[in-house]
Amino acid sequence: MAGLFGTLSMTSRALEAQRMGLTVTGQNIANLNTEGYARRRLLLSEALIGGVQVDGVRAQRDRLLEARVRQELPAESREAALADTLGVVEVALGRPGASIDQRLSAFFDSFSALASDPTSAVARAGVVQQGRLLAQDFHDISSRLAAAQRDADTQVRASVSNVNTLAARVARLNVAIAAAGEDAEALQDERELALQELSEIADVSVIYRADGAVDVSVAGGRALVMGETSYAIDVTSAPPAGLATLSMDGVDITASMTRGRIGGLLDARDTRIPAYQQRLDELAYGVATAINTTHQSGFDLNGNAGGTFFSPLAGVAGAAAALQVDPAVDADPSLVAASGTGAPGDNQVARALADLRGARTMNGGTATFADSWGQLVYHVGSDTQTALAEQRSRQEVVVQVERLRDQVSGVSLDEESAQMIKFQRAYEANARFFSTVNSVLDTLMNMV
Amino acid sequence: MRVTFNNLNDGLAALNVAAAALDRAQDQLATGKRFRAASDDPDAAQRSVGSRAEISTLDAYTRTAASAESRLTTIDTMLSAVVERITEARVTTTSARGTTATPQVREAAARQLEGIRDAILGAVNTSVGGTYLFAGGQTLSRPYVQTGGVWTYQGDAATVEVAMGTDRTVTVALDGQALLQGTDANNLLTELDQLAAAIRAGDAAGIDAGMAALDRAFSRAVRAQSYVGTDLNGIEENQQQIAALRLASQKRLSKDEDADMAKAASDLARADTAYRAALGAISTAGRVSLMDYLR
Repeated sequence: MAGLFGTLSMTSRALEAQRMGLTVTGQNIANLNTEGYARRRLLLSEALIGGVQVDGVRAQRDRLLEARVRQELPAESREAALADTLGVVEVALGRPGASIDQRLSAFFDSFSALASDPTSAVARAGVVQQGRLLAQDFHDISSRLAAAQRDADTQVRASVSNVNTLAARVARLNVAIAAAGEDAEALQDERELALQELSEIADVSVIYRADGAVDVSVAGGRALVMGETSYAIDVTSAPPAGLATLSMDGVDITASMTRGRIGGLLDARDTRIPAYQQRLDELAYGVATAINTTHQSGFDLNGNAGGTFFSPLAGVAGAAAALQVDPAVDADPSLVAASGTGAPGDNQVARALADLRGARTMNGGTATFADSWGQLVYHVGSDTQTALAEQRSRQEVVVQVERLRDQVSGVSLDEESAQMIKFQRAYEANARFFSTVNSVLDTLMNMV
Repeated sequence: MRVTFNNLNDGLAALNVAAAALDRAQDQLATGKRFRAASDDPDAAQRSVGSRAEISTLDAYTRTAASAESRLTTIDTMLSAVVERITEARVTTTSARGTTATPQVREAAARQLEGIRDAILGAVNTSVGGTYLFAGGQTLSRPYVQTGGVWTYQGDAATVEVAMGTDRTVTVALDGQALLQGTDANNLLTELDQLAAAIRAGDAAGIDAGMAALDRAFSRAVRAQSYVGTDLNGIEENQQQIAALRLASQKRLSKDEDADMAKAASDLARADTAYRAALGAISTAGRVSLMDYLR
């Protein structure tokens, strides 16, 4: 058994341990709102020489739950990015009754008015004007779709540069953690946060090495971080649109980035928006072709054979952006072919043109122009709706898993309050013991 | 289970959900529309595009009908005038035939016939807003003009029709020649000139031939008038049908697009309650802490 002096030094170590406990509690409370902070716990054990000894401070982590969070995050952030981008596209299409559908109606209405009065200069000017407005609306929506695509591309680039920054940070932290050994909890917190941010942006897999470093791979097994080295994802602009192509070590990985924020943005950029653009182009091409064919079968006000009403289009691709009223007709509305016989008062072609509104010429003869537009609206709406619903359900999963993780790693104020009191009381008791031993020593000294 | 301080975030999530519901209900009440974007209800958005297209087609028919109706009314009035003038010509001719008529009477009758001829000419040469109604497809050409003492038809044999509905048309410009000449050798204007000459000359055979031509012209005009009358009645009937169809489309559109106000109002009340409850929950959760009880 230790003597009184030994008891004194044991008590002073105990005081130190309890003070350390208070420090850890203070650290936990201080980081109550710090993102990525895992609560610390003081490890105490009975000292062989008697009393208590501090074994260290450990962060409370559950690697399994942290991995689950990283697994669930990419799906959630993918749907979120998709929903955000499609939300913009949806707004670009406009509300029913205030977009292409309304313009198409007004355009065909103008042909009805022309059929009622084929020689009227006002009716002819009306047809040309409505044709111009229709073409303008097609241009506007087409360029809004292109802008949404470019926005998605810009965000892809920004996200890739984020990935590269985060990968470099993880590599740096790997080095620092290896150097710091066991006192690296703060660095580990920072690395976990970086890994979580990474998995929001791209679908990464993380492997923990025995030396404390992590290896990160992306796009189905391509190394992003290997210990102290990080490998950057390269971005090149691919012709013709100049959209970003992602590559690593010269290999194109764009198609394998399917999850995470980048996955969602790439899906919107490369699949969804081009599909909408294609439908819009088909509609514009369908309108121009049907109108031109009928228009060319007629005669203008001067009895000459009708030309094209819309400038001939090269093909479906880019039709919406290229649609325009033929410059000759635009300059001289008397060139609008309303007559089927050459007589100025005849209106057969104007009527046929007006009737095209109800003609099933789209989608292989199954849909009218309005139907075709309705289908486009439906597709965008239902894609957005699905993305939003998916995001909500994925988010629910993420929240649940994060809650599980926080049950292990999160800081509880109540718990810390209790810990604080516990250490305070222990400190007080040890201090009292110290003073008791001290006074016993005092008594002993006075005896001498 | 450890409960961590992050529970406040759950409260915030609940608050967000409640705020979104509140916002949606408020938006529905303010705009009266069920959805703000197609993603709120893609099916309804697609149907509403279809219903709007139907309504605009029906509205186009209605506008066409209105302009056709005014044209047909003018045509009907002109045909009535032609029928009346022909009847008048028959009476005048009858009074001037026979041996009792003096040259003065015959001259007066001939002049009257010439006046009638001008009145009929005026009727068939009527234009509405620069468009001739009796020139067939040549609506920019005056139907009958006298060139070198001969009455010539400048229109064509076409009729111009406008659409009142799918597969339903009415005629808004008539073939003037079919009206004034039909299968006869001469048109009515020439016949009237010849009749006036025959009356002046006391040519009984000529007068008889003229009377026969007047009779044929009369029946042609009456037939044309009955067609126009049928078209006019058809427009009215058709408008009623179109109005019924439009109402049906409008109802469909309203069902898809318009918010159910009573439901939106009760949704708003419910969302408001949920919002307040979430606020209350957060403030309660935030207030309770062991810190307050440890002294």
